[in-house]
Amino acid sequence: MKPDFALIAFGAACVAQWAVPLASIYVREDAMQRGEVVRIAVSAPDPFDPLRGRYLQVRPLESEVVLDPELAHLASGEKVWVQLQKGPDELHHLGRVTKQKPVSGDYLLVTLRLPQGRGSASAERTPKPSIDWPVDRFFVNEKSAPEADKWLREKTLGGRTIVAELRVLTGTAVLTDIAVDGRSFRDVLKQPAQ
Amino acid sequence: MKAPEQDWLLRQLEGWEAEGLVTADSAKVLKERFKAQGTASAGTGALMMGIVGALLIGSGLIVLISHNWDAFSRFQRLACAFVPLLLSQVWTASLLRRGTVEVWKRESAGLLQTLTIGACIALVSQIYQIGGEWTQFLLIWCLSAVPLAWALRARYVAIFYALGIGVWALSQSRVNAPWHETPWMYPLLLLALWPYCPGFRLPQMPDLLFRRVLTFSVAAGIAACSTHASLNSGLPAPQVEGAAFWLMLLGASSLCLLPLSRTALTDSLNTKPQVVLPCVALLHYGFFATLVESSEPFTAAAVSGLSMHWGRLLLLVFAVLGGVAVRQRRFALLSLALIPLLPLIAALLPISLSTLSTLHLTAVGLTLIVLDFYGKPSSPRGGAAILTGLIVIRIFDSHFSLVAKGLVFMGAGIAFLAFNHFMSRRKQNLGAPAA
Repeated sequence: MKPDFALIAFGAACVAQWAVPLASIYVREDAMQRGEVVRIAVSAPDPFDPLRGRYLQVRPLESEVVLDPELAHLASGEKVWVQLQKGPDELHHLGRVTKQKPVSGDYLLVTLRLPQGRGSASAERTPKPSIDWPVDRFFVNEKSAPEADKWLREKTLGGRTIVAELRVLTGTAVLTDIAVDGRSFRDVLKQPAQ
Repeated sequence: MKAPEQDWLLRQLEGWEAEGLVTADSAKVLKERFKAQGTASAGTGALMMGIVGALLIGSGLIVLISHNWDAFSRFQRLACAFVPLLLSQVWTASLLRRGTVEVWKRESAGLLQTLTIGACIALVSQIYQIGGEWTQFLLIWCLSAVPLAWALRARYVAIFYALGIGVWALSQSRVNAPWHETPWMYPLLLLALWPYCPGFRLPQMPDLLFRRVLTFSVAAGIAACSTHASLNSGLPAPQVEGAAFWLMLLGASSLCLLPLSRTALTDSLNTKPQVVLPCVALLHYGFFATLVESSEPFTAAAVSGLSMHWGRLLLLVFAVLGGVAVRQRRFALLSLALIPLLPLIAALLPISLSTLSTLHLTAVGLTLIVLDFYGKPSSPRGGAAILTGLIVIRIFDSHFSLVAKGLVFMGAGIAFLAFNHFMSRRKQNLGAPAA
């Protein structure tokens, strides 16, 4: 192999190795600085990622959506925009699904999931279309994780809602905190704020 | 030759020289040759040590990251992500500037940098709570690392990449996903290995370890594409699995028929993983196809598989590679590679797949034995193993009593051992000098 090719390949590798994480950081820093605060109801059990350690698995309680008739042609797995609307409970809920990017308000770019065998069962039993949320995990310190899991379980036994706080900007969401009864999970575990 | 055997040989040489068994010149030539091989094994040792060192450092870094250092600020944690990556890049750049460096350094640098990339991406996604599937993470990691295989000619980075894309492809079979998130990307991803192997000037073919990894990776790619094609074919759910399996076998047949160089044709099977792995799968299928109850579902699955574009494409590839195999006179292999086509023939002719497969495997087994007696390249023991396996399966599938089945099994075992003994004696006799 020619040495100049080796250098070009190495240069390409270095650029890619910096560009991928930096681009990711840029988008999320922007969302954290300028994004709107969105709160959604979730559940959060505590599993383990072999590469990135322990995390709380953030499972939004709401994931079903209603598709307008003009979107009936959409296939499962397609990317769609979903609007987020603040309800009287101060939490955000899923709103209208569109194929075009909304011009205003808070919205997310998500993956649409359609139930298999749509229309074959009765109307009450038929599962509705749903979305894959772009946030699904909240990484925590390996020592804090069991404590956090225990705390969240105790708090939710009485039917209290766990709230995930996101920063949302032009379709990108960054998970910044988890709270119960308005009390931040970070404060409880004495984690420094991000 | 392994190091202990080499040492033994070098120690014996002096005695043999003194006894006059070898001349001084021959002893000198042998000493030089095996000393040179000894140096090469020392290089392998250094390479392995280097790789283990790089793996330990990189893995240690990832484990440290997994702790999630909440005492550090975000900026400090980001520095922890990027500084090891930067250091490994500086080391690699210094090696590239030097030009010629030892293999172990190139491999260690490549592997270390690969691991620091993974650690960096993992830490960034941990800090910013980035979700998503781990296989997407793996793909980004692989793509960021593969140019290192080209730049450093780092074999272990290429192995990591080949394994990574195979695992990624396997996880991507799903319904209605955009094409770039499906296994159809696998062939394009595999092409990224071209600059490393075989390279722009075809400098050398892949070594055995890399061939094994490539075989696994390509088999995973074929399996993933076949499953994905079946899932998206609109077939009724019960037929999807069977059709996917038949498509995998058709892909396996094409894989084992990949053309070989003239010298590789005569090499041992141990050096051809791309032949061994598919043939094992094909023989298993062939034996199960002889079962009476398998005839209908196997035939239906093959017909369903062929109704897909992917099935027809695989058949076309099989036909082309089969033609090359005929030119290379690889008839024994071709007879095994034909196994996935038997259900299609059974669908066209008034004969069950069970009968057709039994006849085919019998013919293959007998041919492999008979060819040897005519002095043609063959595998008589392989033929005997096929016939024995066939007898066992057919008897197992029959309505004979357990006593009869047991006796037949024992008889087949004795016949197999006797044949093995006969072949060993025959080989000895053929090898003995004429009186």
